[in-house]
Amino acid sequence: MLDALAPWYMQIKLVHMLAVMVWLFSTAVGYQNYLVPAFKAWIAAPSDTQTIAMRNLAMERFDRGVILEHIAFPVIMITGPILWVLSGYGANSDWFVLKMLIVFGIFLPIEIADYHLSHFRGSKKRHRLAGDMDEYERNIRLHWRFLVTVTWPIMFFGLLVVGLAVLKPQFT
Amino acid sequence: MLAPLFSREGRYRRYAFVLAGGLLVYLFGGFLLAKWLFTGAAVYPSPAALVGLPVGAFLFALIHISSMKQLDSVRSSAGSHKAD
Repeated sequence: MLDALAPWYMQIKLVHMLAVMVWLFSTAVGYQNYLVPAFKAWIAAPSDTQTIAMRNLAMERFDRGVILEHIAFPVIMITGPILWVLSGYGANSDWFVLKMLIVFGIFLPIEIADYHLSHFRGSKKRHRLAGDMDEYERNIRLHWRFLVTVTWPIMFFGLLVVGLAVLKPQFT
Repeated sequence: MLAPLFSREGRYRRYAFVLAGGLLVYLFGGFLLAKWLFTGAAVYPSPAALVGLPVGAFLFALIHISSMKQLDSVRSSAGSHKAD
């Protein structure tokens, strides 16, 4: 199996890198320019029906928008270990150890929460179609708290991981 | 189930410092443990790392607080529709 994949190392790396770019940046414009302003307007006027409608529309569209990101993440998690096995990097490479700690200890739990909030029990559209508007509102607010909480850590560690992978620094 | 894991509006400082401290312990401790477990060599942190990493975690927490406050504030960001 590994012998068959070995000649494709660079192509697998390309797919991995493209998936990382999609995962990191595909939601940036929608988040910064549509979702955040919609929530800020709602925070300023929490009982205004127009701002609530705008917030709900932005959130549901964002749930759809993250589909691309959530296709890219499994691609990263499949191609990453293949590259790991093919390249032979291991615990002797400091950058690699730190990268694995970040991917499995920070990104994976965040993404599990993100999948849950966007597509599974936290899906806003699902609650709206079921007519459960209390649960809809609860999940809108929960998803916003999640986004407020993880925005900076994702930005910081996302760029750090790309830096580690490209520069491959050794600390010891 | 997830709600207690996320910051609450207005309670940024404690949350950010606890999170930054936890991440520092996890990454620093995890790195030393992984090196020891998988290479058999004990790695001793340099004095620069012992000073630099807590300073880095402190700065991480400060920026996190600023980010959370900014997102929860009613002031509109670039491209906001609020002022329209």
